[in-house]
Amino acid sequence: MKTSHLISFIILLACLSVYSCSGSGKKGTYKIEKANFTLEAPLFGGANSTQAEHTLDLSAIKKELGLDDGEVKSAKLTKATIYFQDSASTDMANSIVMSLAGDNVNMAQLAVANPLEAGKKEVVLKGSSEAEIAAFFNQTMMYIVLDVDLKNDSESTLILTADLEFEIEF
Amino acid sequence: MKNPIKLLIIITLLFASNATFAQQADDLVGVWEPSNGKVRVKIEKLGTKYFGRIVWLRAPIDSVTNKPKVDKNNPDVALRNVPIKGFRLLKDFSFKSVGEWTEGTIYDPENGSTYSCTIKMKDKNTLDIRGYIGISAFGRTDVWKRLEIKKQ
Repeated sequence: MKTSHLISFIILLACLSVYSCSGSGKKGTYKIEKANFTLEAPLFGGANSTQAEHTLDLSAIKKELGLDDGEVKSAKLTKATIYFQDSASTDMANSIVMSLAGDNVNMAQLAVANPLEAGKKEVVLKGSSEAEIAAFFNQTMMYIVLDVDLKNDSESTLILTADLEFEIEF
Repeated sequence: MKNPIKLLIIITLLFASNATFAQQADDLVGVWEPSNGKVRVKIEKLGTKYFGRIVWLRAPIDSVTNKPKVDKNNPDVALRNVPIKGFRLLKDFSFKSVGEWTEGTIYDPENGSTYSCTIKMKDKNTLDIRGYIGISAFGRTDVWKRLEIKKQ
């Protein structure tokens, strides 16, 4: 084998190995719709935490992308909207912070709205562009945590729902 | 097992030891004050891990903006508007053994840095909180006191 052919062969091998290590590179959108959060009364002014458990199911997105298997290599929050239910509105709170937590993954702070626009029923959170949360999508379950900073004490239970979208890459 | 009483005793002991384990792990739960007295931190359990968030600040208003303090030193620009009141500065602590919680982190809002951290309970009302980079030998320990004193 000529030296030039040998070098080409080695480069080809290197390219193949890099490709195989980098995964499929296929991207899709994972949606969590109407995640429910309840802050039980009595509530006290200041930061109050609530969480929703979410069982991950990537089968639909994998099917859509034509993948049989594979780990999530990268994930980013692309959209987070919180809805106040019943008679509650943004007038009740100063701010909302959203984080993800898991039993085998470290908590990640993901998005914030501070201050909240008055008189609204929905809040669009500003998401972190740097938080890398792929590890959560390789678990079977994660907790979505909301920290709601209430302006005053309240005798009413506060119910919130959330619609979230993540861009995930395999 | 031939003797049903023996079996009952073993099952009872197993349940009792599990309950004791959970109680010892939850000893960390409560409101604590660091030695500088600038904040009070409520430690709670979320899932199987422990987290601590600021529930009180001695100086809640930023003297420059005249607004409630936010996490202005966060390295992630998008999160610099997160309020300091309610901020989780202790994260992801697991119960290791009696009086010891490990594998967590502590965040310093004054410089936006996150450090590895271990917590040791000296007594029911005193914690040694050790923040470090890399290995535990290179770090600093602060003593935190429980706000509501528990009987020893």
